[in-house]
Amino acid sequence: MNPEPMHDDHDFDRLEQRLRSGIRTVPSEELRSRVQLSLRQEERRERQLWFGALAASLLVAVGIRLALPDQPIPASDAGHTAASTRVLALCAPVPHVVADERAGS
Amino acid sequence: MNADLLPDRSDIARGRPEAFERLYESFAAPMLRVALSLTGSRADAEDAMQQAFLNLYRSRSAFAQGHSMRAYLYRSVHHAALRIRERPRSAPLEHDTAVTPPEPADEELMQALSKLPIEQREVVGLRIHADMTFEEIGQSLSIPMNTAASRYRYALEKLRTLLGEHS
Repeated sequence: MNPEPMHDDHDFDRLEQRLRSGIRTVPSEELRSRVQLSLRQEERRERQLWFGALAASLLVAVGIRLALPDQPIPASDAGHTAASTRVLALCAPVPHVVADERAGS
Repeated sequence: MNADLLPDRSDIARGRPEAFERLYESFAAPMLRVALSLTGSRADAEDAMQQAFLNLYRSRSAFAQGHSMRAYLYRSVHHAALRIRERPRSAPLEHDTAVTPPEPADEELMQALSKLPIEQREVVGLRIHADMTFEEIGQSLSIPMNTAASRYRYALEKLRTLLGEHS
Protein backbone atom coordinates (compact mmCIF):
# COMPACT_ATOMS: atom_id res chain seq x y z
CA MET A 1 0.00 0.00 0.00
CA ASN A 2 1.30 3.43 -0.90
CA PRO A 3 1.94 5.88 1.90
CA GLU A 4 -0.59 8.67 2.28
CA PRO A 5 0.53 11.52 -0.04
CA MET A 6 1.48 14.56 1.97
CA HIS A 7 1.21 18.16 1.02
CA ASP A 8 4.10 19.74 2.84
CA ASP A 9 3.25 23.31 1.93
CA HIS A 10 2.60 24.96 5.26
CA ASP A 11 1.04 27.91 3.46
CA PHE A 12 -1.99 25.65 3.12
CA ASP A 13 -2.36 25.28 6.88
CA ARG A 14 -4.09 28.60 7.27
CA LEU A 15 -6.33 27.98 4.30
CA GLU A 16 -7.31 24.55 5.63
CA GLN A 17 -8.08 26.15 8.98
CA ARG A 18 -10.23 28.73 7.23
CA LEU A 19 -12.04 26.00 5.31
CA ARG A 20 -12.75 24.13 8.56
CA SER A 21 -13.96 27.18 10.42
CA GLY A 22 -15.62 28.86 7.44
CA ILE A 23 -18.37 26.29 7.16
CA ARG A 24 -19.70 25.59 10.63
CA THR A 25 -23.18 24.76 9.53
CA VAL A 26 -25.00 22.54 12.00
CA PRO A 27 -28.07 20.47 11.17
CA SER A 28 -31.30 22.10 12.24
CA GLU A 29 -33.97 20.40 14.34
CA GLU A 30 -36.20 20.63 11.29
CA LEU A 31 -33.75 18.48 9.33
CA ARG A 32 -33.68 15.86 12.09
CA SER A 33 -37.49 15.74 12.02
CA ARG A 34 -37.51 15.42 8.22
CA VAL A 35 -35.02 12.55 8.30
CA GLN A 36 -36.91 10.76 11.10
CA LEU A 37 -40.19 11.19 9.29
CA SER A 38 -38.88 9.87 5.97
CA LEU A 39 -37.36 6.81 7.70
CA ARG A 40 -40.65 6.10 9.51
CA GLN A 41 -42.58 6.42 6.25
CA GLU A 42 -40.14 4.05 4.56
CA GLU A 43 -40.46 1.55 7.40
CA ARG A 44 -44.27 1.69 7.11
CA ARG A 45 -44.08 1.27 3.33
CA GLU A 46 -41.82 -1.79 3.67
CA ARG A 47 -44.17 -3.31 6.27
CA GLN A 48 -47.19 -2.75 4.01
CA LEU A 49 -45.35 -4.35 1.10
CA TRP A 50 -44.42 -7.33 3.28
CA PHE A 51 -47.97 -7.84 4.53
CA GLY A 52 -49.29 -7.35 1.00
CA ALA A 53 -46.98 -10.05 -0.32
CA LEU A 54 -47.94 -12.37 2.54
CA ALA A 55 -51.66 -11.81 1.96
CA ALA A 56 -51.25 -12.44 -1.78
CA SER A 57 -49.39 -15.71 -1.10
CA LEU A 58 -52.10 -16.87 1.31
CA LEU A 59 -54.84 -16.01 -1.20
CA VAL A 60 -53.07 -17.96 -3.93
CA ALA A 61 -52.60 -20.95 -1.62
CA VAL A 62 -56.28 -20.89 -0.55
CA GLY A 63 -57.38 -20.45 -4.18
CA ILE A 64 -55.40 -23.48 -5.29
CA ARG A 65 -56.77 -25.55 -2.43
CA LEU A 66 -60.39 -24.56 -3.23
CA ALA A 67 -59.94 -25.23 -6.93
CA LEU A 68 -58.82 -28.77 -6.36
CA PRO A 69 -61.46 -31.52 -6.07
CA ASP A 70 -62.31 -32.82 -2.64
CA GLN A 71 -62.98 -36.43 -3.66
CA PRO A 72 -60.10 -38.77 -4.40
CA ILE A 73 -58.98 -39.03 -8.00
CA PRO A 74 -60.12 -42.30 -9.58
CA ALA A 75 -57.38 -44.75 -10.32
CA SER A 76 -58.20 -44.66 -14.05
CA ASP A 77 -57.43 -40.89 -14.17
CA ALA A 78 -54.17 -41.22 -12.35
CA GLY A 79 -52.13 -41.67 -15.51
CA HIS A 80 -53.08 -38.42 -17.21
CA THR A 81 -53.40 -36.40 -14.01
CA ALA A 82 -49.96 -37.17 -12.70
CA ALA A 83 -49.07 -33.47 -12.52
CA SER A 84 -52.18 -32.48 -10.60
CA THR A 85 -51.70 -35.45 -8.31
CA ARG A 86 -48.27 -34.17 -7.45
CA VAL A 87 -49.64 -30.67 -6.76
CA LEU A 88 -52.38 -32.22 -4.59
CA ALA A 89 -49.83 -34.24 -2.68
CA LEU A 90 -47.88 -31.07 -1.99
CA CYS A 91 -50.91 -28.99 -0.99
CA ALA A 92 -52.58 -31.43 1.35
CA PRO A 93 -51.77 -34.89 2.60
CA VAL A 94 -54.19 -37.27 0.88
CA PRO A 95 -52.67 -40.70 1.51
CA HIS A 96 -55.31 -42.70 -0.40
CA VAL A 97 -54.39 -40.92 -3.66
CA VAL A 98 -50.91 -42.32 -3.42
CA ALA A 99 -52.35 -45.68 -2.54
CA ASP A 100 -54.76 -45.56 -5.53
CA GLU A 101 -51.95 -44.54 -7.85
CA ARG A 102 -49.85 -47.44 -6.69
CA ALA A 103 -52.77 -49.78 -7.10
CA GLY A 104 -53.37 -48.47 -10.64
CA SER A 105 -49.76 -49.02 -11.67
CA MET B 1 -13.87 10.05 13.68
CA ASN B 2 -14.05 7.36 16.33
CA ALA B 3 -15.36 3.99 15.18
CA ASP B 4 -17.10 3.63 18.58
CA LEU B 5 -19.57 6.24 17.37
CA LEU B 6 -20.92 3.79 14.85
CA PRO B 7 -23.89 1.71 15.98
CA ASP B 8 -23.87 -2.05 15.91
CA ARG B 9 -23.93 -3.46 12.38
CA SER B 10 -26.71 -5.93 13.22
CA ASP B 11 -28.88 -3.09 14.57
CA ILE B 12 -28.41 -1.22 11.31
CA ALA B 13 -29.17 -4.32 9.25
CA ARG B 14 -32.43 -4.78 11.21
CA GLY B 15 -33.34 -1.15 10.59
CA ARG B 16 -33.60 -0.28 14.27
CA PRO B 17 -34.55 3.40 14.63
CA GLU B 18 -32.09 3.95 17.51
CA ALA B 19 -29.21 2.79 15.28
CA PHE B 20 -30.11 5.35 12.62
CA GLU B 21 -30.65 7.96 15.32
CA ARG B 22 -27.11 7.30 16.55
CA LEU B 23 -25.72 7.55 13.03
CA TYR B 24 -27.47 10.87 12.64
CA GLU B 25 -26.14 12.16 15.98
CA SER B 26 -22.58 11.22 15.08
CA PHE B 27 -22.40 12.13 11.42
CA ALA B 28 -25.12 14.62 10.51
CA ALA B 29 -22.96 17.72 10.99
CA PRO B 30 -19.95 16.63 8.88
CA MET B 31 -22.24 15.04 6.29
CA LEU B 32 -24.19 18.28 5.99
CA ARG B 33 -20.97 20.25 5.52
CA VAL B 34 -19.79 17.85 2.82
CA ALA B 35 -23.14 18.28 1.08
CA LEU B 36 -22.98 22.05 1.49
CA SER B 37 -19.50 22.22 0.01
CA LEU B 38 -20.87 20.41 -3.07
CA THR B 39 -24.23 22.12 -3.49
CA GLY B 40 -23.42 25.60 -2.18
CA SER B 41 -26.96 25.83 -0.83
CA ARG B 42 -28.17 24.87 2.60
CA ALA B 43 -31.61 23.84 1.35
CA ASP B 44 -30.05 21.55 -1.26
CA ALA B 45 -27.58 20.19 1.29
CA GLU B 46 -30.47 19.34 3.65
CA ASP B 47 -32.36 17.64 0.83
CA ALA B 48 -29.22 15.63 0.09
CA MET B 49 -28.98 14.62 3.75
CA GLN B 50 -32.58 13.45 3.85
CA GLN B 51 -32.12 11.47 0.64
CA ALA B 52 -28.83 10.01 1.85
CA PHE B 53 -30.38 8.66 5.07
CA LEU B 54 -33.31 7.26 3.15
CA ASN B 55 -30.92 5.50 0.76
CA LEU B 56 -28.89 4.20 3.70
CA TYR B 57 -32.06 2.79 5.28
CA ARG B 58 -33.14 1.14 2.02
CA SER B 59 -29.72 -0.43 1.47
CA ARG B 60 -29.11 -1.15 5.15
CA SER B 61 -28.04 -4.77 4.62
CA ALA B 62 -25.27 -3.79 2.21
CA PHE B 63 -24.43 -0.78 4.36
CA ALA B 64 -24.07 -2.94 7.49
CA GLN B 65 -21.96 -5.53 5.69
CA GLY B 66 -19.72 -3.03 3.90
CA HIS B 67 -16.02 -2.77 4.56
CA SER B 68 -16.14 0.82 5.76
CA MET B 69 -19.45 2.13 7.05
CA ARG B 70 -18.00 5.61 7.40
CA ALA B 71 -16.93 5.71 3.75
CA TYR B 72 -20.39 4.37 2.79
CA LEU B 73 -22.07 7.20 4.75
CA TYR B 74 -20.09 9.92 3.02
CA ARG B 75 -20.41 8.28 -0.37
CA SER B 76 -24.16 8.23 0.12
CA VAL B 77 -24.44 11.94 0.93
CA HIS B 78 -21.96 12.77 -1.80
CA HIS B 79 -24.03 10.95 -4.45
CA ALA B 80 -27.25 12.48 -3.16
CA ALA B 81 -25.71 15.97 -3.30
CA LEU B 82 -24.52 15.44 -6.87
CA ARG B 83 -27.98 14.25 -7.95
CA ILE B 84 -29.62 17.24 -6.30
CA ARG B 85 -27.19 19.59 -8.02
CA GLU B 86 -28.29 18.15 -11.35
CA ARG B 87 -32.04 18.43 -10.78
CA PRO B 88 -33.88 21.19 -12.60
CA ARG B 89 -34.15 24.41 -10.66
CA SER B 90 -37.65 25.26 -9.54
CA ALA B 91 -39.28 27.70 -7.21
CA PRO B 92 -37.74 27.55 -3.72
CA LEU B 93 -39.43 25.13 -1.37
CA GLU B 94 -41.02 26.39 1.78
CA HIS B 95 -38.10 25.30 3.94
CA ASP B 96 -35.65 27.33 1.83
CA THR B 97 -36.64 30.51 3.51
CA ALA B 98 -39.14 29.81 6.23
CA VAL B 99 -37.34 27.61 8.73
CA THR B 100 -33.66 27.47 7.79
CA PRO B 101 -31.58 29.48 10.23
CA PRO B 102 -29.07 32.06 8.98
CA GLU B 103 -25.96 30.59 7.36
CA PRO B 104 -22.92 30.77 9.65
CA ALA B 105 -20.53 30.53 6.71
CA ASP B 106 -17.62 32.55 5.38
CA GLU B 107 -19.31 34.06 2.32
CA GLU B 108 -16.06 34.94 0.57
CA LEU B 109 -14.87 31.37 1.04
CA MET B 110 -18.17 29.96 -0.22
CA GLN B 111 -17.90 32.13 -3.32
CA ALA B 112 -14.37 30.91 -3.95
CA LEU B 113 -15.40 27.27 -3.40
CA SER B 114 -18.22 27.63 -5.90
CA LYS B 115 -15.65 28.50 -8.58
CA LEU B 116 -13.80 25.19 -8.19
CA PRO B 117 -14.58 22.28 -10.53
CA ILE B 118 -16.89 19.78 -8.86
CA GLU B 119 -14.14 17.11 -8.81
CA GLN B 120 -12.00 19.39 -6.66
CA ARG B 121 -14.86 20.51 -4.42
CA GLU B 122 -15.80 16.95 -3.57
CA VAL B 123 -12.24 16.12 -2.53
CA VAL B 124 -12.00 19.29 -0.43
CA GLY B 125 -15.34 18.53 1.25
CA LEU B 126 -14.39 14.98 2.15
CA ARG B 127 -10.90 15.93 3.30
CA ILE B 128 -11.86 18.96 5.37
CA HIS B 129 -15.28 18.09 6.76
CA ALA B 130 -15.19 14.30 6.88
CA ASP B 131 -11.51 14.15 7.93
CA MET B 132 -10.94 11.43 5.38
CA THR B 133 -7.50 10.30 4.26
CA PHE B 134 -6.68 10.46 0.57
CA GLU B 135 -6.88 6.69 0.50
CA GLU B 136 -10.45 6.79 1.90
CA ILE B 137 -11.38 9.58 -0.50
CA GLY B 138 -10.00 7.52 -3.37
CA GLN B 139 -12.10 4.53 -2.29
CA SER B 140 -15.20 6.68 -1.87
CA LEU B 141 -14.90 8.34 -5.27
CA SER B 142 -13.41 5.33 -7.07
CA ILE B 143 -10.30 7.24 -8.05
CA PRO B 144 -6.62 6.53 -7.30
CA MET B 145 -5.34 7.92 -4.02
CA ASN B 146 -2.76 10.08 -5.80
CA THR B 147 -5.48 11.60 -7.99
CA ALA B 148 -7.40 12.54 -4.85
CA ALA B 149 -4.27 14.13 -3.40
CA SER B 150 -3.46 16.09 -6.55
CA ARG B 151 -7.05 17.32 -6.93
CA TYR B 152 -6.87 18.54 -3.35
CA ARG B 153 -3.60 20.38 -3.98
CA TYR B 154 -4.94 22.02 -7.15
CA ALA B 155 -8.08 23.03 -5.28
CA LEU B 156 -6.15 24.67 -2.46
CA GLU B 157 -3.84 26.47 -4.88
CA LYS B 158 -6.82 27.83 -6.78
CA LEU B 159 -8.62 28.81 -3.59
CA ARG B 160 -5.55 30.62 -2.35
CA THR B 161 -5.37 32.55 -5.59
CA LEU B 162 -9.07 33.35 -5.54
CA LEU B 163 -9.06 34.46 -1.94
CA GLY B 164 -5.85 36.40 -2.47
CA GLU B 165 -7.47 38.29 -5.32
CA HIS B 166 -10.37 39.20 -3.09
CA SER B 167 -8.32 40.49 -0.17
